[in-house]
Amino acid sequence: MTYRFNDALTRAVEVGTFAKHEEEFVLLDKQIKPFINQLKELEKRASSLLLAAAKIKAQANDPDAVATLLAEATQLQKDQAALEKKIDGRKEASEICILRDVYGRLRFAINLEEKDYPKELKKKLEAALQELGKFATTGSILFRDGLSNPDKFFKHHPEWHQTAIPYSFENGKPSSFWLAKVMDRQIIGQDWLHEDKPSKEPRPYRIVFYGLKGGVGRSTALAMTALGLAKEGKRVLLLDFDLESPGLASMLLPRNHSAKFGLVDWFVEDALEQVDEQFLEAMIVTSPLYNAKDEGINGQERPPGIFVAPAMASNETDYIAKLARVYADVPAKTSGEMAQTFATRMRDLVARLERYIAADVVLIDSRAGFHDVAAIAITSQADNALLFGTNAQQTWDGYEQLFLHWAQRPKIGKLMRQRVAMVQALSPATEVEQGITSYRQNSFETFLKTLYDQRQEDEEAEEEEDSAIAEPQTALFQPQIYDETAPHFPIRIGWSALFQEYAPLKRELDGGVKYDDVVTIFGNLQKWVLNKLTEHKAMQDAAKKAMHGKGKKKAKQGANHAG
Amino acid sequence: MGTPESKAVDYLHAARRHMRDASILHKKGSTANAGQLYGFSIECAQKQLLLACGVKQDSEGGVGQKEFRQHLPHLNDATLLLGELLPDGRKTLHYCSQLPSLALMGSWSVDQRYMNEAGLPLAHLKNWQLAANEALAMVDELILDGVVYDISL
Repeated sequence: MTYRFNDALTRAVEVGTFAKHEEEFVLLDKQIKPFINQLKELEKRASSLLLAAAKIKAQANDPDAVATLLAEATQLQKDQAALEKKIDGRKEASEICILRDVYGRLRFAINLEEKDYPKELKKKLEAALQELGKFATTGSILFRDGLSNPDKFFKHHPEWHQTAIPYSFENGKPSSFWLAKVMDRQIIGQDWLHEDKPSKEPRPYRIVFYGLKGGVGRSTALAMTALGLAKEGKRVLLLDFDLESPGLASMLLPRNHSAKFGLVDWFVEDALEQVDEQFLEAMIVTSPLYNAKDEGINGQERPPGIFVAPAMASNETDYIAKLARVYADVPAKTSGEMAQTFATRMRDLVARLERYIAADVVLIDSRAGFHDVAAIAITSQADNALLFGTNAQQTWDGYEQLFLHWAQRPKIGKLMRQRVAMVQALSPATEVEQGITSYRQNSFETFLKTLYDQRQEDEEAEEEEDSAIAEPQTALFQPQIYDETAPHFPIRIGWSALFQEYAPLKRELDGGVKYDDVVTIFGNLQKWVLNKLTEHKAMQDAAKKAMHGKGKKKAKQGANHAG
Repeated sequence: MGTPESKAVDYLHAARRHMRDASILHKKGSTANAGQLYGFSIECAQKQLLLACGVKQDSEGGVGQKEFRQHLPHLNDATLLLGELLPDGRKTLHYCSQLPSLALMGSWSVDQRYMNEAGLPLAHLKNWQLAANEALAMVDELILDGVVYDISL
């Protein structure tokens, strides 16, 4: 049989899972049994000592003798705990993890020295690997002694993920899963699996505008959201991270009034440590789309506005040559630190720009498709990611793949379903209700198949409880189809001829679009974002209050101690 | 992606061997020779990287292209400057970026093995050790990625 990419991993996990159980039996016989016998012996001695102590206390009331016996019993209990820990540690160390290399080949990884792993089992695992043919590595099993820094790999590596591997299917859909610790070494795409939680540090709210396909009005929606927010008094920072297809500057800045430096310039110059505050200043331009003075706002210290950081500088002559260098890893500035990837550098840049402009909210225009920039933006930048799509099968097939990728790592799936929201882009102007119903249904089904927790029959749930690989049950995430707060529930943007080949900077007087028309089409989205900002502010205020309370309590305790 | 072959030159295990012995000497206070071995350990790790990235091998399994048959610190310069000679420059750059302390090897020279100990820049020993640690960690990454996969001891 020729194994392919998917079933090779399933087979490896299956072999690994059985080998782990088998190893526990071998361990019981050879290594753990003596420990367990010792443990029983210790327990017996400890209880007889406690009995003896009680007797002495009752008969002779000799406090010294009682104290000695109790100390001995305590020591025995400590030894017992240490032994139990040792047994648990040994069992845990023998967990069989799977490493899939950049070519897709598989290898078992075991957090033990090779000499400490039963030889017969090693042979079995090696034989099973060979079964996988081209998807097996020649180096077979990776033990601690196969690496110079085994702890870095086995204990501290961020790329290990508990992964659900389907092993049986019903009607072509996976119905049962193995849960295994898998590390996927990839050339690109690793950023889709970041586990970054939204920062608790006070910072502006960040929203990523993402679409699997371009041409669905994503950038226009971003610009109109920014306008709505500025009119509500917000300072809005727009970042054009659609580096391969830059467009925000052309849309929101006059031709002769773009930035001196673009985002790509920052990546090139930062690699050579040549960026400072002046550089940041030269990257941001205020868009005339919103004018505070026209709105009657004067003399405010932080007036509202739309601040654009374009991907490309004005008068650029060498964009492609710069873009070609943007994704290169850069050595750390300090010895002993990890190389700076594009992801870490992008995080740094966003934080610097939003601080510099003192933004209330940051809107990030992301690259379309399964691109690394989109992955970084969604998984490690966004408080929320707006997922744009029209009601086409291509949209649902694509999002299903993305959601499955997350859902296969349950921890990441749980994190991401809290962070995304669907946007029904270019919703047809005819048969509106029918269009909305169909979109909502497709969206709901896509989430139900992937990121929402499955509804289980009682019998199945019981079976899972008995299973050694079952995941501990927590509250299930199962929103209803009409739940407006659920991620599947679409934010609708209607199609309008007014926004075709739209030039936002064209004034109403010159035939531009009226703001009322903007609200008609983009009002839902503007409202949704404003609600999110209000929620975010309330959370930050509560956190601040809690911090303040803690500080006061500490100060009081300090004063009491001093007193 | 080649298959592992048994040849006389084995940069991976040589890198680890030099590192192990350097650590022993360093602990015992034999700093001059420890320093030499830290440097050799890095050279081996870098040459292992070059082979993994497609540089031609000679019949013994060593680096076959004369541009890269150099010692530190010139080996590092050659790797970065002669990037166009590397069949997989992007991969090489990815791994080279994991060696921030390589720049600190400017004070190390293979000729120091002939020199009087009093004249050696042993104040830099900690830096050399740091750079060697990074080089071996980079070799681990090569193994995990499957671009080097002969991990037999």
